[in-house]
Amino acid sequence: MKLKLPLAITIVLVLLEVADYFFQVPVINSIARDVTVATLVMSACAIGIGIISLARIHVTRITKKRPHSLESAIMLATLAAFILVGAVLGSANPNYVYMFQNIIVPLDSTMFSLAGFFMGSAAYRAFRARSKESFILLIAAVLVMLGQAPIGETLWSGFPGISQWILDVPNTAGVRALIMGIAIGMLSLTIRMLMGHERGYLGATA
Amino acid sequence: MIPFAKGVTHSFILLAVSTALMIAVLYATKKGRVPKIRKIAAIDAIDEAIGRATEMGRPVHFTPGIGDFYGYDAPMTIAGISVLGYAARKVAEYNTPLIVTFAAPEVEPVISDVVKQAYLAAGKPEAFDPESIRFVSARQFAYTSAVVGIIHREKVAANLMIGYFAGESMIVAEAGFLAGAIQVGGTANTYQIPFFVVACDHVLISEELYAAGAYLSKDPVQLGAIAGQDWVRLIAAAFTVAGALLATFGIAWIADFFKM
Repeated sequence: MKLKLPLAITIVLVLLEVADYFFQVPVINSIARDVTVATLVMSACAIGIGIISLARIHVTRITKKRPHSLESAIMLATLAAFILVGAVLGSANPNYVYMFQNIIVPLDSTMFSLAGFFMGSAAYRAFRARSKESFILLIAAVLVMLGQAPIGETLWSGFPGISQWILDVPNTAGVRALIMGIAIGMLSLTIRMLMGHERGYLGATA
Repeated sequence: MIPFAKGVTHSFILLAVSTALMIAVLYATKKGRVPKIRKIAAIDAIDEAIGRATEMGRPVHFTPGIGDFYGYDAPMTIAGISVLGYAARKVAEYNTPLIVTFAAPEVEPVISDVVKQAYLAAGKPEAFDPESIRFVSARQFAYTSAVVGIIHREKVAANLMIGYFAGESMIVAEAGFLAGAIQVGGTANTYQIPFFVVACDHVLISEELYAAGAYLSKDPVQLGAIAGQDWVRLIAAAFTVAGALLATFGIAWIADFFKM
């Protein structure tokens, strides 16, 4: 029962969503819309699980005086401050917006900006011509970069055309092959799930 | 007759034919025709990565990324969690510490259960540490900074990133590289696959991510589903080549059929 019930729910909901996509049957379309809304509500409630999980780890770290207890205390204080201000004053309140714009946004931007530097270091390693494949990758990358950067066109007016051809023809062909494989793989996973062979997502009941 | 939604008739036919073919191969496997499927190096590398972490006495880090259980990212998250079950069992057998991080709070109960069951299956339920299952933040870059911090502070020796990843993929993978970890990446997000290719030691590309759970299970029926998937892929490739050749000579009926 512990296995069959979640599996039965999965099968019914998957068939409902598939039918909603392919057929114009008002009853099915309406139920599918309601199920989607219910899913969103459930996912919003799940944030509570996240907060409990987060608090459990950091409170334990503080009470057992483990390393990095100070950081845990700061994290819990920040979490409490955001919840309090958001819940009491509302998320549209200027104080909450101020906190969000001046704490979350700059921290997000800082982390994202690291990606630029890491792309450089990873590209350096990848583009060292140690094999035939990496040599081809290096040549393609240099041509695309020269085509995209203004200096390339200044050096030779043909670079932008070559760059665009690499992006439009071999690159697009490769990406489309990947997308086809992904779609077929996704279908295979769904079939395995519907037939009860893939049970990883069922956790303890599997 | 049930009315089709606009412009999906051909998609429905393709879906029905593909599904029928996959189920046929799956049932043929059930009757004893166990198919041979190609080796997937990146999946085999998971054992190597865990073995190395065990030798070094350092933790294994696993993350299914920032995906949850609904929308485009759900299948990737589910595929990642299937791999987690296998990795957690191996880690439990070798007494190697495991850290699991994720960004979607709704996956927490499932991940906890999967890891707990893996320790139970390995005969070491007492070794399961609930604190190793860490929801770090639902915000993408807060999750990223937490994961990068954990990788560096806890000196992980194996970094398994299998699931849904977006703009954080390169940052997390480079953090693993800088920490000297052996890395296995896997995602079906086509924008992020190149980042994993350059930053990780092994990568699950495209449908390999979805095949991982079946491949690791060694279950003949699941392997049958993978063989069915390969057959559909072969047919899709044949249609692509035929469509391109015919279109070159001005005959576009294959392209037109798939456009509708």
